[in-house]
Amino acid sequence: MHLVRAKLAIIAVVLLAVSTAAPVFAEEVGEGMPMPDFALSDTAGVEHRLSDFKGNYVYLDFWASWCPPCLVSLPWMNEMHEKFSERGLKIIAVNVDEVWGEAERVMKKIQPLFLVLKDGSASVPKKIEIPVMPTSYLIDKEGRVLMRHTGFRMSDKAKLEQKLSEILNTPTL
Amino acid sequence: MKRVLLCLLIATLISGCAHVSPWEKRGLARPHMAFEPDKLEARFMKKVHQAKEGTAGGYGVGGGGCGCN
Repeated sequence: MHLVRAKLAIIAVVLLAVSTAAPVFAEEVGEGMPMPDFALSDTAGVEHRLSDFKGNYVYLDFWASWCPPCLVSLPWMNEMHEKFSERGLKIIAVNVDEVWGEAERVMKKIQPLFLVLKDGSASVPKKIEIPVMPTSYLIDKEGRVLMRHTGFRMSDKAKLEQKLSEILNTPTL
Repeated sequence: MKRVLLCLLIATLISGCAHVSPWEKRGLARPHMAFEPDKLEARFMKKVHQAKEGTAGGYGVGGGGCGCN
């Protein structure tokens, strides 16, 4: 009787583990790791590859219209574009809205000065396993992740700006 | 036999749970998916509760359904 109970318990635990397990197919990209290359279209339908920006520092952000902190980060990215684009910073904002019209409404309000790429199928977030929305990556000239930032609060603005300023002021050897 | 069937039933019901990735939370981020649809009323009720109990907190964590922050 005890053996049957034990077997049942094992079966129940295995079934529970299998049924609740999250699929793990991709590797989470973090600091120090190379950012995998990808190709996405911009709002005009022109395709861009991340590798096209090698030789520049890239601030890569993932956003959606339904994510309130993302809407705080977009105007801030406009400011950063104005401040740091001349020093070689490229800002790329990847939109993951399934319905493009929802993203367009946000863009009409914010008027992004930086490059916005469309990824309605979330192919890139799936590939690099972004942990939350929004997640941003600062990528160096060789395509390696210098910094990963998750979420976006008002208090993050100064810290991130400081970090960008420090990195862009560091002379390249 | 009954226990085996019960286990299978539980497993079937549990398999309805799904992992939702951060970029898939469009539906969960909608205001009507919030636990408290009326934030003002919820604050009012919390205030009353705090006054009656003489204690505060324990209402979960910050952030929205979209998993941001």
